[in-house]
Amino acid sequence: MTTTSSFLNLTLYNGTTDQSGSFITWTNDMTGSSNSNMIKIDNFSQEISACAISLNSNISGSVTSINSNISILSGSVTALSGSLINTNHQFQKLDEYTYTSGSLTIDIIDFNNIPQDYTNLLIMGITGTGKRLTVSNIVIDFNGDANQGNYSAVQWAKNDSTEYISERLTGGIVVGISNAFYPSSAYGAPLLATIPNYSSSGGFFKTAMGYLATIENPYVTSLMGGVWKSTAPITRIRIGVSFSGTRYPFLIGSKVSLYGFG
Amino acid sequence: MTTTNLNLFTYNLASDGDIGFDDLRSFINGSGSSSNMIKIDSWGFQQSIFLSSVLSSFSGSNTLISGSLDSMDTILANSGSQISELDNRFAILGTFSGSGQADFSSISQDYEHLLILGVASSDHPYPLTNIGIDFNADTTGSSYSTVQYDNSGSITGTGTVNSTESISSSAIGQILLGKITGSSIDQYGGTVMGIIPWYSGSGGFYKTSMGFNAVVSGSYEDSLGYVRSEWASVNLSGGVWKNNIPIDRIRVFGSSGSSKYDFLDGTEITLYGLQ
Repeated sequence: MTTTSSFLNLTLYNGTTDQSGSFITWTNDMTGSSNSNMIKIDNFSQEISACAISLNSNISGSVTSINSNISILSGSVTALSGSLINTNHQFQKLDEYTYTSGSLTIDIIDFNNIPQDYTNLLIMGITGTGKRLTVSNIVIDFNGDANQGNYSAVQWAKNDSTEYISERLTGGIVVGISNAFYPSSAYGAPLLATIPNYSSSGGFFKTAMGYLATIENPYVTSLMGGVWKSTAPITRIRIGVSFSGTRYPFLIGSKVSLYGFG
Repeated sequence: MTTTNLNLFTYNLASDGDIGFDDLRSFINGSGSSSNMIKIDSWGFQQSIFLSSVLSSFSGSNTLISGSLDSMDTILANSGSQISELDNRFAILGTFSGSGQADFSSISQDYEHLLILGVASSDHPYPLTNIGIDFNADTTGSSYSTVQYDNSGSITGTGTVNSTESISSSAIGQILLGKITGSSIDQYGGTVMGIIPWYSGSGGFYKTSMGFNAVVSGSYEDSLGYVRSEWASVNLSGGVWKNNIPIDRIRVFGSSGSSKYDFLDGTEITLYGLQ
C-alpha cells in the first residue's frame, strides 16, 4: 500500500496496485502499534478533542467577557438615561402662545395642565393689546381662580409725568404692561415674570412678580407683583390684558412662553 | 496494546504474536463495543454532541447579547433624541470676557428669546455709567427709542443714599440695559441682566429689550486728592429697535449719551438662547 489519504495521512489499499502486500503488512498498516491508521486516528482524535475543548473554553471566556462588558455598558446606559431624565427636569419650555394671524378676539392665554416636575416658572415674551391709547396691565390668575378676594397685588410705575404705587384689585396678579397701539401697532412690550415654587403643596401662599421698561406713550417703567392666597400647586395659569376690569385682546405679534426651572 | 486516547486496539507482531484473521477483524471492525470502529464511532458521536452543545450555548449567549445590545441601542437612540432636544432647549450663544466691546455676531436663529447675564465696568471716567446694546450693527440714532428709570446718588455711609430719581427717553442709536460702574474705581463691576424677547422672529412687533439692576460703585480718590463717596443706583431700562427683522448680531458696550465706551478688563458677559 503506497497511497495515503489527504488529511490524516491514512494508509490506503488499492486492489489493483497493492496485490503484492502481505496480510501482516496490511495488519500493521491498519492497526500496528506504530504509525498505523489506528494510531493516526487516535492522534487525530486527541487533537480534535483538545481543539474542541479549547474552542469551548475560548467561546465561554469570550462570552463571559462580553457579558461583563455589556453589564458595565448597560449600567452606564441606564445611568445616562437617568441623568438625561434629571437634566430634562432642570429647564424646559412648558407651553407657548403665539398670535400671528386672525381677528382680535383672543382675550386670554390659557396654560393648562402645567407639568409639576419643576420648581419655578418664568414667563417671557412680548405683547401688545387692542386697547387703544392707554397701557393695560397684564394680569395672571391661577388654577382658574378669578376671585378678587383671593389675590393681593401691588404695582409701582413711573412714566414721563406720573409715578405711583397702587394696590391692584384685578382678581389676579399684575405682572406686566402691554403696549396699547401706540405709537402704532408695531410696538410691543417685553414681558418677564417669575412664579417661584409653583408646584409645591403647603408652605407660603403662591406669589408672582414682573418688571418692565418700555417705550409706550411715551414710555413707562414698572415693578409689580402679588400673592394668591392659596398654597395649592399651580396647574393652570391664565394671562390676560386688563384695564379697569375689562379684558382686551392681544395683538398679532404677541408671543408668550412659559418655562419651568428645576 | 491500545492507543492512549480512544483506547483503540493496535497490533504488535513482536509482543502480540500471531493473531487470526477473525480476531483481527473483530478487533478492528467487529460489531461489539470493543472494536475500533465502534470506539471511533462513539467518539465521533460524542464530538458531535459536544460541538453541538458548544454551538447551542454560544447561540444562546449570542441571542442574549443581541437582546442586550438591542435594548441598549433603543435606550441610546432615545437618549440621543433627548440630548438633541435638550441641546436645542437652552444654550450659550456667545461669551465676552476682558476689555473692549462685546460683539455677538452670526447669532444662532434656533432659539426664541435671549437672556444677557454678566458683570461689567466701562472706561467712562465716572463712578457709574450706562450699558447699552445695538442690533445688526445699526447705529442710526432714530432707529431706536430707549427709556431709563434711575434712582441713584452717593452713599452717605450712615444708611442713606443722596438719591435723585429720574426717568427719560432718548434716541441715541442703542437700547440701554441699566447701569454699571465706570473707571473711577477698580474692582467694582455692575450686574448685567437683560432680555430680548422673540429675537429670531420675522414680522410682528418691533424688536425690544429691557434690563434692570441695582449697582454700587466703590469710593475713590479724585485727581485733586479728595476721597469721593461710593455711588449706588437702582435702574429699570429698556427700549425698542424700530425693525422687526431677526436679530443676528448684538453689540454690548459702556454708554454715556450717544457715546460708546469699552469695557474694562474683568468684564464677563454671556448671551443665552431659550427655545
